[in-house]
Amino acid sequence: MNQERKIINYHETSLSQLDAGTIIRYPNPKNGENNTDYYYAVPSFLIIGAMKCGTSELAAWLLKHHHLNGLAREWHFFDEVSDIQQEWKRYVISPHFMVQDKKTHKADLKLHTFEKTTEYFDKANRGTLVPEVIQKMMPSGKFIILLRNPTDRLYSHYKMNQRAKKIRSPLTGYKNNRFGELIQDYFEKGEDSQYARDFRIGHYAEHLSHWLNYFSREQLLILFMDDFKKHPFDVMKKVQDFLGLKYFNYSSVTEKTSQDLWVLKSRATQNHYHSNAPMCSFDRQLLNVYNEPWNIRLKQMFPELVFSW
Amino acid sequence: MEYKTKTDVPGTCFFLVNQFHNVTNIHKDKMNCKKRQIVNYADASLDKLDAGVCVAYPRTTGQQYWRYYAVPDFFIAGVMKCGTMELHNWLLQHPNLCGISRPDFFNRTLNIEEEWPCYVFDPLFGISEDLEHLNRCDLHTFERTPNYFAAQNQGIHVAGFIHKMVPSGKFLILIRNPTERAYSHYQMKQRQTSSNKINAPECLEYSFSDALTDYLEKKQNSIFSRIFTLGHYADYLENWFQYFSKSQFLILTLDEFKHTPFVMMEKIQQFLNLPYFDYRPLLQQTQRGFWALKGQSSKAYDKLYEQKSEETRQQMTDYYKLSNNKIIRLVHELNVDW
Repeated sequence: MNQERKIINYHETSLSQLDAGTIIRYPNPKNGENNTDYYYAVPSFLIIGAMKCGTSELAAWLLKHHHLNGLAREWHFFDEVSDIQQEWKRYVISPHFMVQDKKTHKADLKLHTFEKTTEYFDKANRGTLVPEVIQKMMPSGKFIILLRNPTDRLYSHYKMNQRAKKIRSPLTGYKNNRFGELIQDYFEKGEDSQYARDFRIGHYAEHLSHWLNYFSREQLLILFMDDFKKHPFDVMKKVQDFLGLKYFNYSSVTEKTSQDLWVLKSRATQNHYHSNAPMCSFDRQLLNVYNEPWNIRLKQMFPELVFSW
Repeated sequence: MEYKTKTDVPGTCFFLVNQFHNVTNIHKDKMNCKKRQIVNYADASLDKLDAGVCVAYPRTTGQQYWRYYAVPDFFIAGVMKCGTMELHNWLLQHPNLCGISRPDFFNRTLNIEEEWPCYVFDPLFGISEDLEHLNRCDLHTFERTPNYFAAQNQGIHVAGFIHKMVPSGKFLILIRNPTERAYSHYQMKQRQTSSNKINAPECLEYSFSDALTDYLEKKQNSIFSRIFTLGHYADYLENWFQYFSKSQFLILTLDEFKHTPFVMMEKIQQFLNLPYFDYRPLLQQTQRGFWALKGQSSKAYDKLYEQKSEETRQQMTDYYKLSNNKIIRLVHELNVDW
């Protein structure tokens, strides 16, 4: 991320001029000599998924980096925006994407911005794949993908949907049905099952092949949740290398939990929670068989990746 | 290959059309019964917004799915160095509230008629993705921007801009003894300059009493003027009262926040018509005897500043005397000993 940063004036900006890391200068409405303009940056990278693979935790760790600004909550811009030509402003001119040096009041060229939305990985926006929408704003962007065994991912997703989230009620189908019933429903109805997306997210190879239609392999960083849990500092090093960031020492902001996992100090993370009751072995077997072809394809597509499932 | 979401599957069109009408009607019904005003994004404009109004953004073509963004019900609009961050963190713990710290929107926007979506569609104001949940959960949004208190935008006090979007909004204003506020402000600038975060070398070169002398001589032209003028709370409040009625404000003091936090939180919840939430289980007492949220950083743990000289203190007290009398006359319920 050390290439020249482009700075454009707000009033002269259109979507086609933007790219990852582009800075927009927004004029200060106050008239006066000492007043300085405000600077916002298009994200340099996005964490795009997959859901239930540790993306919130990774985003929270990245926010500790002195050269990163952004938001660890789901943004839902590219998967929901209806007219990106007009609406890019409401995305980029956001307090979460400010890159201003408080000392010099100039754009801080070291600062980069990012956000995470796990729906970007597998969803389409009004029939257009999300990577195609993203390409319109940040063709040279970088993208981080966290993955885990799709069988475990699905189970964790099911457990999450049973609980009420802050932004929606618990989903009835999940509340009233056992995990095995979901699997049955999907195996019977396929794409017509209300649970189809949950299963489809685990087709990692399929989604990644879509992303590779719009971005090069070098623009994607594929990580595994197990590695992040076991060797968080190694993973953070890899992420910082990928992003070209100055190395930040994460041991100063982290501590070990009673379960021997590294977490950020004074942040409620899922690593503090008790784990779910385990999946029954029959369901696990069934799902492993279902997911296997996709896992094999993932290995074929990316022989350099090391994972055990 | 064309990749399709569930709503694009042919054969579901009839269902979706029905769904569209239903949802629109539901939105209209809500408007009539005044439970929660919802405006569809396609019809939304600045004049249709107000405190608590939700803008429904269509998430798909079928208009089957929406995301609801809520205009803030209230603002922590100042004053800088009077405990606004602490209050913000406490309010974020309330199960019915979602908030943003320092969006600095109304003091910066060049064209609010056009740019309101930059503000309202903040992911942190997106409170719901399902209508049943929205109506049942009674979630509200707020924001904290201490700069609003004294800010102008294009020659108009920022209250004028807030009024265009949120005429029935409520405001929490924290104040403290202006002498203490000025000293804390000066200390902050000194600290931030020595740690290279901001550039205010004058705060390292001038002692606090020299800064005061400089200000008393040069007034508005002193480099320290903002440190001292912000304490004239009454003057700024009068600006706010030009746009909003007094009943839309709750003026609080840092002293009551420090010494009777639970009483104060109840007062705030009543003022905002929020369901009662007990803060006691979330808090712990610090060594200085203040209450702070467990597991979160707070200034309540910090050491006390070095005290100012008695002479400077007296000078400051004299300087703020008129202004302090004025705020006591302006805000009757205020109980202060400065």
